[in-house]
Amino acid sequence: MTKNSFKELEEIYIKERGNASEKTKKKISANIGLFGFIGHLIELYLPSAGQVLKSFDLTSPGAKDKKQKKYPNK
Amino acid sequence: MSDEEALEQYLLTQNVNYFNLLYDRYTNKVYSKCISMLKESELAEDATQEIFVKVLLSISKFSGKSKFSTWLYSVTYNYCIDIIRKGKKEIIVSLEDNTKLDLEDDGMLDAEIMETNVFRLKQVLGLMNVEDKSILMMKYQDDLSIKEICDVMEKTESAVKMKILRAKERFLKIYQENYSRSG
Repeated sequence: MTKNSFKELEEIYIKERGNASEKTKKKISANIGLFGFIGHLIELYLPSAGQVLKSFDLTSPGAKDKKQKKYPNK
Repeated sequence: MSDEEALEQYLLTQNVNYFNLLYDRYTNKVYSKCISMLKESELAEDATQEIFVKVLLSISKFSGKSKFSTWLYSVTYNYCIDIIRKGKKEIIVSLEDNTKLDLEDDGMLDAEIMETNVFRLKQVLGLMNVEDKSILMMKYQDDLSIKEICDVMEKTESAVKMKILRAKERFLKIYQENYSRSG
């Protein structure tokens, strides 16, 4: 079988890395948690934020007038 | 459980354990590519983290046309190439026409490159530009087929074959420049 120094070099880098992969895993888990949290916030509050904005539009002064002015002859 | 099954289960259940399974399987491979390309362990560790987060965020876009590992390596190489280009960290080694090598015996050239002393291999790769280095790593370290390299690089088969030949030429040129006198 032919020697493959590329694979040997890969092994050397992996050995030199030691247990740093666990630290990185924890950081990724923290990221996942943060993304999940932001996702839940969006899921929870985005529809109600839409409702609030809609209600602002309906209750704002002139909202009725705008409707009336759109078709003044009707 | 295969990579694709783990991926499918993660998408169905959003259970992080399935993602961790893939992380455990590939983290060292991704890291070793990052350190080869970026040369600094801290930078490589950060890159590994970013790559897995990137994969996690775009996992639903994975079409399944290629193997998961090929897709992951593609994200890895492209991420490192972007970092290097942004930091302009690479050294471009030009190849002059008079240094053109005989590439007829491709198998022999492959053996010559693969059997390079590991210390020298590290040195020569360190002097190569990022595209050449990554294409040689895809071929010799990841055992990717020409078709898979085409997918990773988004190039045609003939373009990839030409790039491999050029990368081999440059590898041997740098090797000869640095070690021909010492033997």
